[in-house]
Amino acid sequence: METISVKICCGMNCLVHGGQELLDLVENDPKIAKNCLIEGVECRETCGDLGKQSPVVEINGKIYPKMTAERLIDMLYKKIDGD
Amino acid sequence: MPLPRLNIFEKMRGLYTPVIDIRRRVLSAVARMIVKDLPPTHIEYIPYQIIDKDTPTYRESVFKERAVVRERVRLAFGMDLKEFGAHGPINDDDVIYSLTDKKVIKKPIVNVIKVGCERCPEHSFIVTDLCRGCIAHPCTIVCPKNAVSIINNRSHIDQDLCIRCGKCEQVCPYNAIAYRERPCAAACGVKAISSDENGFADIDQDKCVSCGMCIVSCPFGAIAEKSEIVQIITALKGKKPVIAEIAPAFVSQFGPLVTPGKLKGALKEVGFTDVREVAYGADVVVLNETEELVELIKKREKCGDESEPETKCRTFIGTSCCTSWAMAAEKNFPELSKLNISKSFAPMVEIAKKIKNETPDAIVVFIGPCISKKEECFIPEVAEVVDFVMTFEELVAIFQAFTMDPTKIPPEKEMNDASALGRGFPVAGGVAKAVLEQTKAIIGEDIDIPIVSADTLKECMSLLRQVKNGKLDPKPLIVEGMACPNGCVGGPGTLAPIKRAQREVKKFAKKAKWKKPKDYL
Repeated sequence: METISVKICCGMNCLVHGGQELLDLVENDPKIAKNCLIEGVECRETCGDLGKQSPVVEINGKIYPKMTAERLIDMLYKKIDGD
Repeated sequence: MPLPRLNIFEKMRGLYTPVIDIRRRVLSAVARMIVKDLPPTHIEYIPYQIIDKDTPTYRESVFKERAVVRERVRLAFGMDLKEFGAHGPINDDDVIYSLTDKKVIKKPIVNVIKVGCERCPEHSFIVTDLCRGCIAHPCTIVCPKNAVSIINNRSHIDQDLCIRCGKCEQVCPYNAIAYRERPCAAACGVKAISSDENGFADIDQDKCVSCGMCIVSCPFGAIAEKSEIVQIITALKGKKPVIAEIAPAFVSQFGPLVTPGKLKGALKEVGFTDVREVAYGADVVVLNETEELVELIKKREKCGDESEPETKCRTFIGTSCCTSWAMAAEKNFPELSKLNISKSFAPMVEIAKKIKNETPDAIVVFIGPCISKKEECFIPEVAEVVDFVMTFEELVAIFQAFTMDPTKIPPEKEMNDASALGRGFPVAGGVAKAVLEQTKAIIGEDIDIPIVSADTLKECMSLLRQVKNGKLDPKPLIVEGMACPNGCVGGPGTLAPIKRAQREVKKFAKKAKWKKPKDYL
């Protein structure tokens, strides 16, 4: 199976609006950590003023704004399991 | 099988909750207003920017949601809350007094936003639906007050008779009896939170030591602290030099990409003239406390002589760098702490003294994980040297308001003003270890110096009780107290997960130019 690329924005807006927690969550999930390439990346400037769209996560090149922990885990598990 | 139970401090930590979201969005909106020089009337728009939906998201109505945000905005400006009965707009013509580079905040620092408080029931044991009305019903047998009876084939606890000993909960084969407590009161290590006549949480300000643990533990976000970001931004825009002193817990707080050098660059970019490590102050504190300890060891033999009765002689060095711990010790064990808690000022003050010596007209801003440092600034000697205090969370609001991203700043030369021991202060046990190593470096390795340390105020108080009653063997010579779980890295104003922060703080300490304060001071 191909490694899934997960890029979590670590710019100031995304970082304080949940990015830091998302990064910690995926790094500490053994299943996700094993199958994904997790990176903290610089601001993509897609978060809007004062981080209205934060946190931003990029999965396999596609950008997802306003990511939540529930949604991210769900999406990654589905991708890993191949449904 | 259920997982191990988490304590109150572990439950919500590391999760990004809507409560944190609102708190941070209020701070950044307020910071933006000041950065953009918007007129004072703009303050009334902030609650509408934060709660911008037509249907409620968090509470029963958008009006109540905005009412809570309104109070948060007042606190962010450093103003007092509008308590119940004092209804009025946020801008009650008093906002202009906050738009200054002088200190405006007054006690109390930690406040219950009553309109946001859900009046959770006070601590009690209750029978849940898991009760099967079993034949054995051990709950009724173990109750020392006959408060548990079987009514309609189910256990029932008479709350008037119950003394909350918890024996019934312990023996129920179905785990049907639950202990219910208010998260704010559970997090409070000095029992400062009770209820007012209407059942709203109420903080006894004589007992409160402003540790801020109730703020991060309330799931309704009904407790908040006053902020000085408005005055800090005003100072940054002014002409006087503003110097930041940054607490050693800062490492990794701003994400994996923000190195200490980049952070320094970003702080300069938003208007700070210089950035100093509070760890230097920590080194000075280590020296002070070591001096006290060496004296104690010398004097120890004389203790019990006629010249010095046993009750009057000092038996241990209590660390003094955690304000909440020192205050809690003073309030709960006045005689013990007067004799034994170190007279040394906190690291924040020691580095501020140095800064004010070098640049007398500088405005000194302490940046840390701590809320009780805001309380410490009400001490006149401290107020002379430290002008403002803000948390890491508040600093990011300022970065956001300036649309400044430290990840994109070319890094400055890293700060290097402190020893590894000073940099190790923010992790629980770090202070005691530092004093121990420094003392051994002075008077030799062979002396036995027992140390004890505790984190969270509840543990700290129980440790002090043990020390007072002589329950500890060997008797400790250094007693370290930290009000926050795992030390400063678990402070209420932090951004990073505690484990990561702990790891990175230790790594950064290893990079220090000197091992011990003695090597350079």
